[in-house]
Amino acid sequence: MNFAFSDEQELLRRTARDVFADAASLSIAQVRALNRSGADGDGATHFSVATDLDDVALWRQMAELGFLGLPFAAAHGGSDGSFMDLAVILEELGRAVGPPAYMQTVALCGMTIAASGPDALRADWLQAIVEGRVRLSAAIAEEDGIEEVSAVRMHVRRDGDDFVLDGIKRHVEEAGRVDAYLVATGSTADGITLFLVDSGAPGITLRPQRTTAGGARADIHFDAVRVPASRIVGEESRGETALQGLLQRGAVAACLDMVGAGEAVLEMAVAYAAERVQFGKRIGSFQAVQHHASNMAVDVDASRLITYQAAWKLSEGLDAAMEVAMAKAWTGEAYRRVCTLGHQIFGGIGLMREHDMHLFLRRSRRDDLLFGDAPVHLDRLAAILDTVETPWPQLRGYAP
Amino acid sequence: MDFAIAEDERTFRREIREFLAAELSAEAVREAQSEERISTAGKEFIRKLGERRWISLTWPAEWGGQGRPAMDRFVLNDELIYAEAPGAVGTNVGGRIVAPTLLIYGSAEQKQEFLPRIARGEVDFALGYTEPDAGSDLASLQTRAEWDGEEYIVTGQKLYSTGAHFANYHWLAARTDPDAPKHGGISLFIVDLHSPGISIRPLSSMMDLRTNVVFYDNVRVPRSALVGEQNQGFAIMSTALALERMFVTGDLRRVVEELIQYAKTTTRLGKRLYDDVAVRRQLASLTTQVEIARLFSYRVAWQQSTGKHPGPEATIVKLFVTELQLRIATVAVQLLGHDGELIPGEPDAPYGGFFERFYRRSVMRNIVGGTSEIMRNVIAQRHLGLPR
Repeated sequence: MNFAFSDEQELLRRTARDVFADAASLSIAQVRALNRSGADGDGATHFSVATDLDDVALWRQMAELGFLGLPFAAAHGGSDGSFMDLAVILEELGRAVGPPAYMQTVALCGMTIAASGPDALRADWLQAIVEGRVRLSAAIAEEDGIEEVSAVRMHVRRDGDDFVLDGIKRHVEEAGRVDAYLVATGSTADGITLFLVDSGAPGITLRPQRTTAGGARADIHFDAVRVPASRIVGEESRGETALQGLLQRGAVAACLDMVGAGEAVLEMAVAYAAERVQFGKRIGSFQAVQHHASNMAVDVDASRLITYQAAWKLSEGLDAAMEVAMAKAWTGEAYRRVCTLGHQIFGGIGLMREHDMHLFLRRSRRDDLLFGDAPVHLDRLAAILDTVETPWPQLRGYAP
Repeated sequence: MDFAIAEDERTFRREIREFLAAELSAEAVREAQSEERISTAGKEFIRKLGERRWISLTWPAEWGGQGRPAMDRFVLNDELIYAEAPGAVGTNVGGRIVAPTLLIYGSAEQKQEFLPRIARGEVDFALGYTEPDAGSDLASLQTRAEWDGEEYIVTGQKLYSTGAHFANYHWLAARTDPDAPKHGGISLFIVDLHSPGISIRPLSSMMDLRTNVVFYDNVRVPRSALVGEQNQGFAIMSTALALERMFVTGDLRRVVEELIQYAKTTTRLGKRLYDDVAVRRQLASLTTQVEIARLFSYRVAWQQSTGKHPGPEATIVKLFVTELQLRIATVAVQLLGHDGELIPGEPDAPYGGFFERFYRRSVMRNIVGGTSEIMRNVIAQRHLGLPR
């Protein structure tokens, strides 16, 4: 047992926190600026201004600092790091309500290419990711609206050396802002095939969606989109394991985002409660407020541990099905509680667009649902529990 | 980071389980859970723990200990409580509180007198902290210990002194300086419970656990009974408590395992209880929360083993574990339905009425050792730095 990050990871965390806190570098600063700048009367439209943000400067900075290459092999310009290293960045981005491009490009798509190959795709894409030249996004969900292997049904047929994709991918993050989509096709019955599809390929149309959290969300229509066989990630019809891995990393990445965001909300709310005066007293001296803050602290701390454990298991390549389900089932709900209690402490000012609080609340809707919310993951966990004698075999003394 | 259970821990857990299989009688378990807790079988079992040098597991070698890390004591307690064995919590004030405090603050004579007997499982202690007007606000306690030039004269009463009816000694907090600020005038003593002037009256509780009021009427206590410096009692209690605050979750794991098993094997209205979505989700949620509690508790043990001082972590464990127990108990009695109302001893009671009693006892855990509200105050004020 060791609950501490390594010295290198702590250094990475400090660097990331400094970079992301630097208002000039981060797109969130621009989100904030835009939020303050005007009122066009339509809140949702107004908030979705974030979709047009240019976060290139931040991206370039992350490339220079090596953040984009953390989990990739040195041969591709990466630093041979682990998912646990990546976890540090994902958490710090959450703290800054950072853009989702990193999670999508590095943790989801990039790591899938790295794990599944083939070598030609690794060579073409990983170096480009590391250098900050390309961004990717995963297109998984279909009409059921959930990111799950069994919900993938997208029609794909072979035509010569190409494959032809037809169907709709729903709720794709960073839609229209990336160079390629990692698209899950086929079905569990016939086999899942993952394709890396150029975002500008003929036959692709976007139906943008305005959402609570803002950002570039869209449904993507694939109308006879041709993809060469060389763009298959992994092997044809054998992508289920890779997809499963992507979904697990996605769930944990969403948890890490919420862990960082929860820490930020807690710190903001505590700092405010310690100075805001009403009834002649600092409101942080009222027990009702103190207990809100304590409940937030416990929720954040619990989220941290259950999420780190899942991240560690993924990082070590161990079976993490149970731990990932636990982390996502817990953290989504805990972070929602943290946000709503944070709002109670801030009162009226926290409702204003000029205040950051609403950004965190908005994010909680996105992260809670992303890669499955609590009911989805509780059902997965319950299914596993149905097949095992105990959730804690490692404490029976016979399992590692 | 490393969340794996180390090989040597797994080996130790196996060793403890083998010991329990051989030495823990059903009688000892039954007595440990009984109202009076006076237990012949239980005492026999605790002496066997002593023979293994497991009570003194983490003590330095010069006091008969094995110098093992705090993590080992955590693992031992975790397995003991999983097996419902006596000696882990509550019944073992000597090993849990008195010995670690004496190791730091005790005089050479006190160490000599008490540590070997505690290590062998030969003496029992009861806590003498709470009073009628000093509950959560423990520092306002009024029991007086006045120095008359030769001895302390103790007068007052102590409430909820669990185990005082069978213990040999009282671990007593009393006021030695009524003029000092309230935290600064308290001292700690080890008092022979058979001293003249002490009378013990039973209090029976809704948990079917006997506790006691201990009355002190001009009880003469020798200077040698004072633990540490005079008037430093509150600080000593706090330090000792922080060092020793160790919450294990073996009992909660056991209970959730049993509940899942119950839901899998019980059919109601023609279908497995476990196939009801609401039931499955509740059990999956409780499993998740117990896993969080396990991680919380391991973190404190890891901190103690690696020379880090647990700060908010120890308070958070207490709060989370005790509130979780009540949530588990609530789901348990809902799952069991009317059968869950049957008390221990009822022939048809599932699990011998365990969960019926567990529900009543779970209400207690949010109060004993600091209420949940006090824990939240501590987190907010001491750890988050909010103003008083």
